Amino acid sequence: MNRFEKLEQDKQISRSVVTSMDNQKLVGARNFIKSLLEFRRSRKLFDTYISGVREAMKYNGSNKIYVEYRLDGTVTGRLSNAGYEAGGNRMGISFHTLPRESRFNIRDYVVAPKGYKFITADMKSMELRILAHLAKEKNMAKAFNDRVDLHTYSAAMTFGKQMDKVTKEERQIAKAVSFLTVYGGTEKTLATKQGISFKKAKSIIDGWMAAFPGVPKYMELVDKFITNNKYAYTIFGRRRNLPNAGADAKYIRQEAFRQGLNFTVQSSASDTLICCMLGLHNELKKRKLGSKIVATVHDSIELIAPESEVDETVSLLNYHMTSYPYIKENFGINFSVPLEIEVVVGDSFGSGEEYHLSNPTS
Amino acid sequence: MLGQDGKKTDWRNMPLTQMARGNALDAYFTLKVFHKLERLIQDLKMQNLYDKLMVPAVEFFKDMELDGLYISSAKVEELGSQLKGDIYDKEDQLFSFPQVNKTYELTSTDDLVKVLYSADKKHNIVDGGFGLFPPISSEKTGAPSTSAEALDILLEQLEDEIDRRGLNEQV
Repeated sequence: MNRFEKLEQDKQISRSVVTSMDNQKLVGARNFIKSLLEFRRSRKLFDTYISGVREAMKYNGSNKIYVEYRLDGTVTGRLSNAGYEAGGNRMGISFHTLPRESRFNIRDYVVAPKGYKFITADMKSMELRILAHLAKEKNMAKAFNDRVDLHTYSAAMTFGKQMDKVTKEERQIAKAVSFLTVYGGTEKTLATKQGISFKKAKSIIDGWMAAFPGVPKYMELVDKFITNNKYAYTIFGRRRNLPNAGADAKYIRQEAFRQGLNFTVQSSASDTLICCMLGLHNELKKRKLGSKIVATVHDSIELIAPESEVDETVSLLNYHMTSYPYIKENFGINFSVPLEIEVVVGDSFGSGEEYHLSNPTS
Repeated sequence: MLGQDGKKTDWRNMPLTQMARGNALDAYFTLKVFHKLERLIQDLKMQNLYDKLMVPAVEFFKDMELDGLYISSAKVEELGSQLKGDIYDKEDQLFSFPQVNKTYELTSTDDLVKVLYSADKKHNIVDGGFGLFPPISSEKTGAPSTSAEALDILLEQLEDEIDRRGLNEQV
């Protein structure tokens, strides 16, 4: 019996034992495991984010932690982030993984110093906007240009309904298909995640592709390019070699294709954000402002700004993230869809309220 | 020279002379690699990416890394005590199950195996516990698993059965 057969057999025995338990024990075991998982989760949060930060602050001798960014830390072209190396140990925490926990607001301890505010600017649906641009997808571009909720829009297109008739579940499925496309998933991924049959998953994906015909055309184009050249490249000129695109086995070739497609979107999104930060950083310096970019998490930029500079900083943020002059000037890229941001201002990374500019055109 | 004998490099406590030598060698070999890569960057038409994105980004991220992030110690402590309280509550909750021996350690795999599977890690039957069957066992030792994956499988099977018997409405 091989490993998988043994696993399958053990699962079956486990299920039959569960089936034969009396009601009281059955419910008790369920409640025990639930509590045990919660217990473990709280312990992990404590060890990683409380003990880890305490240790880092002690080592630094201040109320600060330091994180390390890696421009070459992932094959997908995204930034990676971790605590930094000190005395041979990883010190502190990864800013990227600070959890959004509703009961324990861990992010709340990353604060702005006295007299400053903490600003978070999130690029909305960034990777899908990049996909719409790359694929020259007109329907998707229309949704972004009309500023409607993309996932409701794609659900309406996929299921052939009016937007106001789309259910929460349909929106959720359409959203899952959109991300599946970016991350290179299959109907199997969708079926497993949504708990639906392969057949239904396939028909939903087919419906989505028919709603956004530019996307399958783009996928075909990328596939052809990767097959011929064994690499993928992005609009910023970054490339990822994909030697497996020439493999004999079909599933290895398909994997290389998925990696390549994913790279063209994710890496471009990541470079877009880096360029927005560079443009903003230069401008803050040029204007001799006290505001500073202090972190970045995937699609967002975090800053601290003196209270008196918040409006000006948000205005500059808005300009550099939605008009992206650095990208236009240095890479000649003009996105066919608008880039949109959401800005939250507060006292910490984990608190704050959505901020609206007093004069958005400034 | 550095990091010999498998020792990890401790830059903070390294004598300056040793550090200078290390850095000089580092710079020398980096320059050699740079000359080789410079041509490759041109050949692959990545010069613009290199000049306009990579080089300024390295400088920018370096500044950001050195600036660091401000942490509120008061909030760390407040969250720490909230989490500790939560951990104690959960612990009390877990010990309130009659199947859990009061001398057990809830972080000990050996003890959890006894609670969940009413057996020790060599599959010898022990008193108490829920009497479940381990859906996963260690490939190497054959010991029953208490990993998150094993717990997820058990939880799903238990929930299915509870649903099937309609017990959720009664609990």
